[in-house]
Amino acid sequence: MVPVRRGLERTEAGCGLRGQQVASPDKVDPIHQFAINKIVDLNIGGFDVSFTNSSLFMVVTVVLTSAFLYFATSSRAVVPSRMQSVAEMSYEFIANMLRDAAGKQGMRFFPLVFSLFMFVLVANLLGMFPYFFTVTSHIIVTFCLAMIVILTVIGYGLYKHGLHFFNLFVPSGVPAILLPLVVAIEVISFLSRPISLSVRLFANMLAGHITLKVFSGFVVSLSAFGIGGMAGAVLPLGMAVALTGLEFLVSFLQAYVFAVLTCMYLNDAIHPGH
Amino acid sequence: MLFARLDGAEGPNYVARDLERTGKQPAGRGMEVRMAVNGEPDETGKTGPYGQTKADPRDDDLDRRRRNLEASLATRQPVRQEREEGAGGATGYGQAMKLSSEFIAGVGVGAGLGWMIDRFAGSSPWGLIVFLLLGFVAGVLNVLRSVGKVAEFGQGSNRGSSRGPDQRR
Repeated sequence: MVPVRRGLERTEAGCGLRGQQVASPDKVDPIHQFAINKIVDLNIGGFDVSFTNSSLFMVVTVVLTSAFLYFATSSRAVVPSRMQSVAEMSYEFIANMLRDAAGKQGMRFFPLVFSLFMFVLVANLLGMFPYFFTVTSHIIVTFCLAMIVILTVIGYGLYKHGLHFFNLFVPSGVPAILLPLVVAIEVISFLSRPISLSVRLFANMLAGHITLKVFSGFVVSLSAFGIGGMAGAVLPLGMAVALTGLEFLVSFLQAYVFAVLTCMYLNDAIHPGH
Repeated sequence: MLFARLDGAEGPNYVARDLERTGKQPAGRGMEVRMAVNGEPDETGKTGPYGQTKADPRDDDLDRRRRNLEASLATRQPVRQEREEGAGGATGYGQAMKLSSEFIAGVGVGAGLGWMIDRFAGSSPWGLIVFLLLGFVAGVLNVLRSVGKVAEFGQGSNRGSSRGPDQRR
């Protein structure tokens, strides 16, 4: 998780301006929840590495996940307790996913995929608490996660297969004249993977939280208009409740999609010749 | 004889059409059996029992094969649906998010590459033009690939999809 935090904090220097624009308390500002605030001001070697609310929630996510898995598996009962069976289920879930997508050899990447899945899932779910910061709603965080995946794919592919790895970009059965064009397109398509991986997670979380905030804001502003407004506020209130359910679904689904795509990309690194 | 041959060749379609033409309800095989037992000539001009004894094993065979086919189709179908659902979300919202991010990423990376090439090689604006177009193509390719219409990375279209998207999960 170290590269993630470092990458994040470097850009936080740029985002610092936005964090200082404090919304007036009486107005509902749907963007305000994504503002980054410094908790401990730190400056090392010219880089702004302050400990921010984003860093805090990353630490909370990691600690929560580790503590949960540690305590859930500490008893190691043959008949699992509830906690233990949740931990075992999450293990089985990721292990099966990885085995299906990348085969037996893919299991060496299990720690990576499991950590990514648990981090994204817990960060998404933590973001569902009111007043909590959603770590994955910042593109730099999701982009760093995606870069970890892609750099692992490229690194392992080159280490394992050498230059043969680049056969990934050369589809078989293409006429020689078209080959340069097709290879260029395939390379761009490959490079767009980390972008689409990160944009998908980030956009889902951002859009979901903004929508939730906007509908909740309607409830507040409508109920300020007296009885008629309160009656009208029932509609956005119902919408907000429904959206909360949808957001929980999206939280899980995006973590799942992230893990599935990671498995598929790792499969390319393990078997580039398909 | 003719009945048996045509049935064997044409499969279920023939039977259904045949029953429709004779104005009987398509009540399945039981109808034909009763017809044959009564000894009335069916439309092929043959009386029942002779043709029936010939037709029966083939029908059984056909039935068995049809059932096998249905079973294998059924094992294939839900797998694909489950994958679509899992990857795209129960709502179309997830699917839209997925496809648009694939497309935007393709165009974005193409434009970025072109811009960087222009910057370092001083070939402005040709790098941006060419790579933006290539990026557009790559975006379309990404979208088609993510809905499983194009072969995955590293496999040509003529090599089949032994690990294609619909068999991956």
